[in-house]
Amino acid sequence: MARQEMSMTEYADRETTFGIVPLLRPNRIYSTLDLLFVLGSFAIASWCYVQGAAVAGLLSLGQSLAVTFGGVLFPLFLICLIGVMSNRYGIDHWFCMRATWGFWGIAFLLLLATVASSSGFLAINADLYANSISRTLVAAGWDAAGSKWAVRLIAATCPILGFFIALRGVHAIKWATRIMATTLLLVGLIILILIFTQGDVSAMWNAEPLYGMGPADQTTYMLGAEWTVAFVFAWFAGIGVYTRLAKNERGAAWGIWGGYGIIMGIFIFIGAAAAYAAVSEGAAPTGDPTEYLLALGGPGLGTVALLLVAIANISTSAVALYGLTLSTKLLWPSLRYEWLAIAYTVYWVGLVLWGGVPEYYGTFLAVVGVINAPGVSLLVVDYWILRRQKLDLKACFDFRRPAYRYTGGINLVAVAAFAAGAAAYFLVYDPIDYVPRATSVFNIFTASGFAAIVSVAVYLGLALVPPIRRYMLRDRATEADRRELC
Amino acid sequence: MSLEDGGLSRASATEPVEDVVEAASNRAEAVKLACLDRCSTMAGRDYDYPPRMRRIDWIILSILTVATGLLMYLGQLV
Repeated sequence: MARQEMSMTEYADRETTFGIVPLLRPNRIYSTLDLLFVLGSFAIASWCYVQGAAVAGLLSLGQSLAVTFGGVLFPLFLICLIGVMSNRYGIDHWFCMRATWGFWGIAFLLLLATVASSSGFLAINADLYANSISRTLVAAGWDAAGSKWAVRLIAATCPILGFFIALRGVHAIKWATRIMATTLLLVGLIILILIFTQGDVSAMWNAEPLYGMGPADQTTYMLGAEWTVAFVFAWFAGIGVYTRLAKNERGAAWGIWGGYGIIMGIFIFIGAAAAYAAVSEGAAPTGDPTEYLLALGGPGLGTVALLLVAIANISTSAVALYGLTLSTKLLWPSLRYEWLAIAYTVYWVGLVLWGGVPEYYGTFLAVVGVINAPGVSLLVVDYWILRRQKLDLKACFDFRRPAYRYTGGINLVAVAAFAAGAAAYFLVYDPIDYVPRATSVFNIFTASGFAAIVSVAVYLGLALVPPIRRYMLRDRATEADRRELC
Repeated sequence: MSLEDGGLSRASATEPVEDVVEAASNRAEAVKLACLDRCSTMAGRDYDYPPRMRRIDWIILSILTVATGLLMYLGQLV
């Protein structure tokens, strides 16, 4: 019996870093700088070059600069609020969200955000990794490596290698982060130097957008803003799993602002500038940093870039796999970390072999926006406004407590508000043809912004109706309930 | 039953299904108890939460948010 109790204790301790157990104050390990470094190094993965190239295709370089920093940092305030909440309790925000969505209702949003949104970015990274390797193999005379299926098979090795790093746990992740950050910073720095030494900055600044549609009108500009806002909301899945480790709320907020905001913004802009520079040297604005380095620096630098990009993308896969696996443990707390990591890896390999995500990047960003914009905004208003920063934490972990059971474990008000936000998104924007359906609304709010506003309006509007408010705030129905809030 | 292997090695075709289910059930219970224990600690009056955001942090963050919002909207004039 003593042996079993010891084992359970050890198992629970292990679940603090490999699982869902809340971190108390002494367990927090990240200073503000630590968190900024971790989030920043995660954020500057190769997807920044794809995003930069997409924005540069629509907007001039000056507009790209404004839309990148404005579009990244403006909505980031909401992400910071979620990070602060998660840090306060030392709990991944997905558990706190049980108050918003219900004990089981959260599974719906979690699966959407991780399976349909976050995983897509990993597929994009794997695609860039494969293109880099394939290009080098073809240059070395192995033409078969350039075929579509060869590239996809190479891409599949990225999540598989990332899995083996993630399997080694939090210390391997720490080292993966350091390697990833160093290599990605090197790639960015080399590209930046080449832009200023090889490219004509003045000509790039005055050049028209790269897709050849002429100077951007207001709607095109807001389309660039929409893609950037959706890109930021994509961090929804990976907030609390990192900020819960920060030593205080300031560290959580400024770590996010610096890492997911400033550092990521710099790299997206480097991606946009590199696309302009590469086009002026005859390359295509593909968002592939290796191709840019080949165009700007020649084959020698291209080969070095290949190595750096390959290492960085594998490390990114490992870090992402660790974060998403821990978040998903919300659905199956007893399932071992390793089994969930295997499930994600198999799914990502399937996604990579399909190859559709990079091909339909604009539509993929719409999927990201329609899921995450209402998700982020509903959590923020629920915790910061409706519940006045008080949760029944035990009810977030124990279905027997009635506070967040709602209707069969699902908060129908949140579902209705989310559905209204998603409908609003599609009312103002056509994600297949990338054109607004309601230009006047789109030009002010963007589609993601409008979806967020509609979700919040419906949620708070319904909360004004007394019976619905009582339904939503069951966690404070009696004096005894209120004593449990924290 | 030992939980040191987390039940992973028990999930084989040769193990009785009841053992696998029991291992998973024990793991879930251990995790839940640990979570509830820590939640009780946080709900207690004596728990010392990590330092909160200071007023100046909120003010700076709000100003930066408004400024970057303006940047996003006015950038189209560039």
